[in-house]
Amino acid sequence: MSSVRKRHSFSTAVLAAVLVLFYAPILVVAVNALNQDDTLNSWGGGTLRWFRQILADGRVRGDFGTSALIAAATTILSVAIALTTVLAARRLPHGGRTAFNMITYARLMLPEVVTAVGLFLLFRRFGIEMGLVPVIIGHTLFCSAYATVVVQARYAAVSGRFSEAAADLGAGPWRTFRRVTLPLLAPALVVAGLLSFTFSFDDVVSSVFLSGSSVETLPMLMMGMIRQRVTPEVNAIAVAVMTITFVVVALVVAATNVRAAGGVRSSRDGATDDE
Amino acid sequence: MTNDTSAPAKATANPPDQATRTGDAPVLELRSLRREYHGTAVVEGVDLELRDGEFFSFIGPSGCGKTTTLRMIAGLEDATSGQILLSGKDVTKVPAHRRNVHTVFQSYALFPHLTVAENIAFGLREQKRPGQEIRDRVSRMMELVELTGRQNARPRELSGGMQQRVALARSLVLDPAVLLLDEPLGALDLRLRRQMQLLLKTVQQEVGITFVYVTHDQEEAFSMSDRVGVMNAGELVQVGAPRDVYERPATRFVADFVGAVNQLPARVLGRSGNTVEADVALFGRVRVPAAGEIGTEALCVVRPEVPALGPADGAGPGCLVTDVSFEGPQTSLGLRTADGIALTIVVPSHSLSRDLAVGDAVTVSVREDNLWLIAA
Repeated sequence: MSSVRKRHSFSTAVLAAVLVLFYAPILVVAVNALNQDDTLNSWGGGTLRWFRQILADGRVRGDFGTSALIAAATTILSVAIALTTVLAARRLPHGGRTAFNMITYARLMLPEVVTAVGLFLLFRRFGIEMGLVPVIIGHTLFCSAYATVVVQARYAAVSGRFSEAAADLGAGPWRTFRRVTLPLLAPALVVAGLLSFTFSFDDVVSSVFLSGSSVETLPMLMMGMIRQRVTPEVNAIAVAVMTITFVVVALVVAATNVRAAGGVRSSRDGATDDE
Repeated sequence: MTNDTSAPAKATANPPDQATRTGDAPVLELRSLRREYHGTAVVEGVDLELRDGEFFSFIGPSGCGKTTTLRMIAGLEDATSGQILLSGKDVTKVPAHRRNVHTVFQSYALFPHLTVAENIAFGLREQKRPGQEIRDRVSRMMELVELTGRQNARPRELSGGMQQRVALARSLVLDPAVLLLDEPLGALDLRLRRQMQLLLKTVQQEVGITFVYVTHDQEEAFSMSDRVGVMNAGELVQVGAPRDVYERPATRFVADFVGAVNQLPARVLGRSGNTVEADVALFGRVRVPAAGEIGTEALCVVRPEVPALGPADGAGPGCLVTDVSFEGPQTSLGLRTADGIALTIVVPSHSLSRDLAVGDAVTVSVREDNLWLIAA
């Protein structure tokens, strides 16, 4: 009895430690974003001054826009690549599918700095100027791998029997894709899109190598600001990004649930297979 | 998608009219159907003709090729060679979505993102039926399979039996020339299986559609089918009415599969017409009906319900009781003769003395025409 409780309290302690390590930095950032005192060592009263300051800062606004644009382009490309390659891989012979998987996982496992340097040298070799497009290509390189893994896992669960059933009921290949495969893949496509957007938005390594002198993303700006000293503005940017992320995710979740209530599709259908 | 009233390729998707239904051609015909994977045949030389409105079952152990045969009829699997004809028309090369044949899958494969009504309407919407017709046919079908009121439920909110009925309705609503059912009751518990068997039989009689049923459960097949086909190692070994297959198995494999537990060695002495004069272990010289091809060495099938039990001093060979298993309506007895021949027999429980115990001496007697001889 007591040993059970002891184990129980141990796991509770581990959980508490993880939660503290996880959320304490976020809390510190959030608190300091509202801190009057710009030394970050003491509480000088609450203020929204730093938020006003970053909103007024053209460079912050511009870099935020650049990051959002890059992330949006990366998301669209990554999800499109994931969907089309997963669908195409089904037609490959067994060996081809293994090769496809290995290429996908290689993109996940290779240190990002390696692919970034590789792309940098490649673009230089062909005289392509660094900038927006190279950054988007760099981000898409690894984001599409994450997207592919997510879509592939879902596809494995929904392919086969559902498409067969659709064909059996008279739906041709395109109709089967439209009415069965795509709706069943939709939750995975949303998740893959969110992942791609997040990974692209906060990427530093590829951006630094591939952005050239004309393009700067928000994380690059924050890195630069921190290099001198941690300013309250950095905290405010972090909190702003966090808030936006939270709102977007909440909207996506709400949207999928609303559609479920309307009888179109349910996000829970997506997460769990039937049977 | 073209409107199916103007597209000849889609004409088969319409409810078959009386002309094609009652024509001379069998509703489904398989000709030397063969399927191989990597050079190994999993279905070989299957020939079959089905009458319209027939309830036909493929039975056989797992891996015998029955599901592959069904999938070839559905068009979900290509035939390596041979032909599939629907109402006399060769559909061997027609893709699944253009065949007027629909399947109830073992896993049901209900679309999880659609409601019950949307699942049932799926095929009708592919046929571009008008909305009112779709609604009418779906609600009529839901009534038939006793699902009225659940049209807005999701498949996962339903019990296994209900999901099964949605799968049935989804295929049946398209009024197929042939409905294929691939072990549809495999995932249900025994009580539900019996209920569903009754429902399937009732529905089939009501709609008059030809059912092709696949199962490894011979009792299930026997109780529902007009005819059964026993498959083994890719070949259709025997086709016939359930009672014929049960009482007159063509081969040793079929005998084993339909539960003929007693197979006594026999020596054929002579043949006249349908019967054979044979010397059967335990029962001696008898004149019994026999399968077509038979050599000198044969096996005599003694179905467990055939021998009648007598007192120790009764007529017929004597045995000792080695096992008594009460099974409710019937009791299964293990018997052994002095020569070491074992017999398993089944008798109605009420006809048995309560005192019967292991070690008791009894006699068994049989009517010769209830025995059956097959090749060894």
